[in-house]
Amino acid sequence: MAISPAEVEEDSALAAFSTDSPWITIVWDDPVNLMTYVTHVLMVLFGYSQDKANDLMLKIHNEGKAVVNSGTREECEHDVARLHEYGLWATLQRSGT
Amino acid sequence: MSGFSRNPDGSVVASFTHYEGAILKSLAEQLLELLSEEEGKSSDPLLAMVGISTNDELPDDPVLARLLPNAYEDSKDAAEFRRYTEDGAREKKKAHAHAIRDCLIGVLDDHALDLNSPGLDKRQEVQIVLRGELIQAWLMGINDLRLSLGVRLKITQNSHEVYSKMSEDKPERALYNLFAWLGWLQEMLLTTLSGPAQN
Repeated sequence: MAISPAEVEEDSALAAFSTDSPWITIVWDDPVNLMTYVTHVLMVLFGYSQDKANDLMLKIHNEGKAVVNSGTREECEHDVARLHEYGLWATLQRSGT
Repeated sequence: MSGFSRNPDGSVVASFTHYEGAILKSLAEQLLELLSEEEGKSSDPLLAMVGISTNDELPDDPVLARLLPNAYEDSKDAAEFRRYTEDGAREKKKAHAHAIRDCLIGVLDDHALDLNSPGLDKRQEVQIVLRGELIQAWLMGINDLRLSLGVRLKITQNSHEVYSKMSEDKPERALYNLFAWLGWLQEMLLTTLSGPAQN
């Protein structure tokens, strides 16, 4: 499968998430949440553009999970609590583990 | 015709028949009941006052376990996080279900609250205007209802194929129809939110 420039950019953005910050927020795929809902939640909670939120949603759907944000442990705990409030299945962990 | 539309001021109009409204209200009440279960189980009242629970385990009920999942894969970290957050998370989920229930009670006639009532015109429509935070509360509340039914129905990627072949007489099929309807409702609300306001 050919990789479009947009996808390369997205991958390096995700790589930056996982190496520059000590903790990462992960959203896992689940069979109930609607794709459009997951995209909406990522836009509302993280202020991502429609395109970026949609790319992350597809990554979750296709690969089973995706890193959606990174930061301090407290920041990621806040992310996870908000994602759970919206009903997304999310966890946090130390980056690089 | 049930569904959602948007006013020029950004508010959302939810339209339901009495029948649909009564079903949605009943689902929200069942969720409220479930979320109130096991609450404060063996809790220290002083700690509970500041939102800290002595309960740090994943709930036994699979629906509650899905609605209030672990925040860490590591069980020790997950338990610690749960002690400080689960009570608050339950309260938020209850607030969303309450928002749906209270809005519906506000517009449904008394007799419409009983689906078996002989005087009920099930097709009569009611409208609810949702603004600001109430819109997101409905969105999250509908999602919690879908997650709950999804767990009970053991939904997987190919469930639609399985359930759509099932006889309409089976109770699981009726539950699946409800699940599918909630999905349609949520999709419609999302479409309404992403589109322009209508004049």
